[in-house]
Amino acid sequence: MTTDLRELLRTTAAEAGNTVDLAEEAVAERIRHRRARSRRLAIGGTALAAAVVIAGTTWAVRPGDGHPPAASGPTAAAVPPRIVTSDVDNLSGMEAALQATLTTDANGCVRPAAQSDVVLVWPRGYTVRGDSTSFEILDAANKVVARSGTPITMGGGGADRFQPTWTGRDCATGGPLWMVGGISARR
Amino acid sequence: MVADWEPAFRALLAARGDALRSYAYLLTGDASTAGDLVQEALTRVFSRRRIGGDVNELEAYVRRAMLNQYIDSRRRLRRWNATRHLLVDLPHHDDDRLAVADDVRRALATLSSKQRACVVLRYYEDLPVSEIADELGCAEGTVKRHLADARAKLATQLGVTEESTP
Repeated sequence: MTTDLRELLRTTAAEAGNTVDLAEEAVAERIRHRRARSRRLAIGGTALAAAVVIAGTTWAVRPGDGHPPAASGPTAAAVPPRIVTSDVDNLSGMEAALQATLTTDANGCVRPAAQSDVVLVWPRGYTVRGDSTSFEILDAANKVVARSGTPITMGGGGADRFQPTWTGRDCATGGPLWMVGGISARR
Repeated sequence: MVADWEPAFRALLAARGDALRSYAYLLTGDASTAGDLVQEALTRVFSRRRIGGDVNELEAYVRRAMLNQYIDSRRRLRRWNATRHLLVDLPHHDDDRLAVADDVRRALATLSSKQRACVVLRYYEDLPVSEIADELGCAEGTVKRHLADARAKLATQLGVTEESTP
């Protein structure tokens, strides 16, 4: 059987050369896309790992009771909190995730507590209210989407550079830019 | 700028593209599905962050990805395959060589995914039982059983003589 079956399989396999399309260029393009995406996810993963390590040792989070919990850290309550907003109305559709607890830096700029170099870029129309120790982020419809001191997961992904049409340039430290996507409570 | 993976990708397809086509075709029995199988395996392997430049090594990775994908997808599509013949006319060829290939594909289609993988690896790729067991992540005895069961089915359908050992 061995010989016969081998011959039969070879005969059958010979059909493949003419009929099986490898779509080389399309596959190459798909690989490029996936590699770019995994680079973005790697940035998010690194940020997450750093957040987990540093959050436990650097920042303390006070549980809330209906009011926005206070952000702690080297902030001055007198400085009003500020955010960077883009010129896009919608949340970023990118699929990486950043887990963070929001706080403000010494200039009042809202940042992830454990990654103070990351610049959060919120959609156009988003605002912040409260003070730099206890604040809320509101969307364009004035609905609260995040509170200081509360651990959240932000979808989104990185951006290459700060655009001239965005607000809050003085909050851009030169660190990674995170286009904020969907926000959910951290599980 | 051409990334490091791209020259390796082009070199693999230039050197081993036909072999990958044949392998996929024997596993799936269908040109379109075979194309999808190779394309997805290539995408998975070359989307990894670090890619070596050795064509033989890359081919082995792609084949392993194809095999895993084929077995997984067959599990998911078992129900569809059970009724597919009621909905789709399998192609028929009058040319003798093509007709033989049709018969072989039909016969292979009656095997389970693991039986079929064992047959292709043993009788087309000429791998020893120990390597097939390694590829499929199972015991050698399991491979021998799959081969014996497959041979029994193929002996009836293709009219070939059954041998006693793989």
